[in-house]
Amino acid sequence: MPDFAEIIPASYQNVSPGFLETLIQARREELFTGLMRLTFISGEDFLAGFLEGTQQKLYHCHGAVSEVIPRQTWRETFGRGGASVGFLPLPLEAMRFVRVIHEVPVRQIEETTINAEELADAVAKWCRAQDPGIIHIQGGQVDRYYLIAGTSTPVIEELSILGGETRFSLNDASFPKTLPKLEYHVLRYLSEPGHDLWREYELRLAFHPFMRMLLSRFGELAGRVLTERLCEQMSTWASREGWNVSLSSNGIVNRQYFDSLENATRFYVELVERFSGEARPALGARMTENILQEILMKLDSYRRELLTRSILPPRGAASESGVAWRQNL
Amino acid sequence: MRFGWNANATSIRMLGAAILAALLFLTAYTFIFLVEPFTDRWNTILINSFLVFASSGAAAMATLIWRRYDPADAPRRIWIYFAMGLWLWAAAELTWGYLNVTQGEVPEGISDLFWISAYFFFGYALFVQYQILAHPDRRGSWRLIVIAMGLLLALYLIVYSMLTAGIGAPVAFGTSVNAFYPAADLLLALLAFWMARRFRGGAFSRPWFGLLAFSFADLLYAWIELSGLYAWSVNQSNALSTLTDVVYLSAYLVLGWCILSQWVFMKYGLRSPAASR
Repeated sequence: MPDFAEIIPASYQNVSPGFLETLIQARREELFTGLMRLTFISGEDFLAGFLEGTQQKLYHCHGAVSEVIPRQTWRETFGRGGASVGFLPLPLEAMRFVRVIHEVPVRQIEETTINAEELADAVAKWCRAQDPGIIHIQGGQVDRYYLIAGTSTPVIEELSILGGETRFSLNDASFPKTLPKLEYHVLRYLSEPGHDLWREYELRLAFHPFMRMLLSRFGELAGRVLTERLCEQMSTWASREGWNVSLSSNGIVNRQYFDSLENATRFYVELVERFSGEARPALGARMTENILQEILMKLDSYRRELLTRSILPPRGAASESGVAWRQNL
Repeated sequence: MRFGWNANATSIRMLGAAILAALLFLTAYTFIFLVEPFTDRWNTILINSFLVFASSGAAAMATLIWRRYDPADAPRRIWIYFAMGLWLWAAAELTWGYLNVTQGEVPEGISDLFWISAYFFFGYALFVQYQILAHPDRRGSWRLIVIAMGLLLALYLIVYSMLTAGIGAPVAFGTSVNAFYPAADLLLALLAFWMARRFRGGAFSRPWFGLLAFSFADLLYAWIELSGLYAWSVNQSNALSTLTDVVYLSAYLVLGWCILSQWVFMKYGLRSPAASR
């Protein structure tokens, strides 16, 4: 597993537990989103993730292995003195990325040194593979991490590190073409496809085009004004429920850090229900169900199956309250 | 929002008020037929004015819906044709009413030109709606047009032969024109029924249901007129003729209400109950 702690410079040395608490409190107050690195004299590395000032996760990093520290024992770690401490602000999307890096299981590590052309071929192959993986590419000025979900998922998330700064972006399988023509040291961490974090990740990536096409179809039938109103209603609902998600006629902007697959699934189910509930008075139950199925059919078979299994009601249930089929999830 | 009502309450009240107004309108219309309160000429003027008012109202509502859509919206194309068809019907009612008041029995002529050309616009509006719903390719679109035209021709020939051989209408221009309405109405009704089924339960199904109601009234009217039972003046009216006229006006009112309900939905629908803008 890539050791993310390595890239965070230590800003404070030999920090006492009291001062550490002060530093954490300051991050809470400034609604900090990012990582805090703790390195003890013993050489142990810890990484704490913050989301808008709230501490979400604590990882114990042992080189290639990361261990999630249960919340109940955080105090023990923070109570130890003499740590050097560093902070790295990150966008929310990068925090989700970091979480995947540190929490998904790794069953195999492949290490190669290849040029950009060979990398392009390898990436194309990895994108088609069934197993997801994390790719770490280093060479020249390039130091980047990629999440490749496999099964032809078109979106590849990228986290690049340059001069101590990190930048998150969305990419696709053609990204090696943008790299300088150099030799690269590539590490591929092969993971397990069934892990909850990968499923949540895949669900998020599949839900995005689904929602965009759904809103576009609704707009085609009902017009721009009603579509904007529908999006406004759904965004208001999401915000009221505490989800960091907004909708516009262009699709969904998902800035939610789901703490579990169940929560993510529950949110997507409720959002589809909310869409059905809002669209039904305009289009009718039958048409609403039809467009849900129609858009689903436009997705590739893997993502269609994923959404059908996880989120969407079977045909005929969309006109109901949605409670019955949800109980079987 | 005026009166401090929320969006939902305003929608309900507006549609309720429209039903009440339509019922009062229909009652006044029936009252004139049954009581004949004025001279024959004035009764006929009033009766025709009711029809002109109802058809213009429906056309105006359709125009308002067209205006509510963004120029880039696909449904805007439906509503421009739908509104044009309704304005042509309003023009037909006006010319027919004028001829009815000035010369009594109205022969097939200019008003039929308006009525018949309106069907082209309704047909095209339905076709655009079909395109939006089904996304047919060019071949599919042409297939639909050919099938619809074939069906229209078949229905026309059936109705024409029924009128000439069945109830003994003369083989004349008038019969040819009158045979068109039931045939076009039937075709429109079938298409509107299919459309309404696709939108079942939604506000967008209502205008098509309105068209369906109109098809029924038009069929009744065509049958009464061709069977020679239609009374051309209020004071000579019989029960069947009165019923036909009342159903005919009701169809306009139903169509108008259905269109109004879509307009109300577009203006106030999909808002939270608390919204009061």
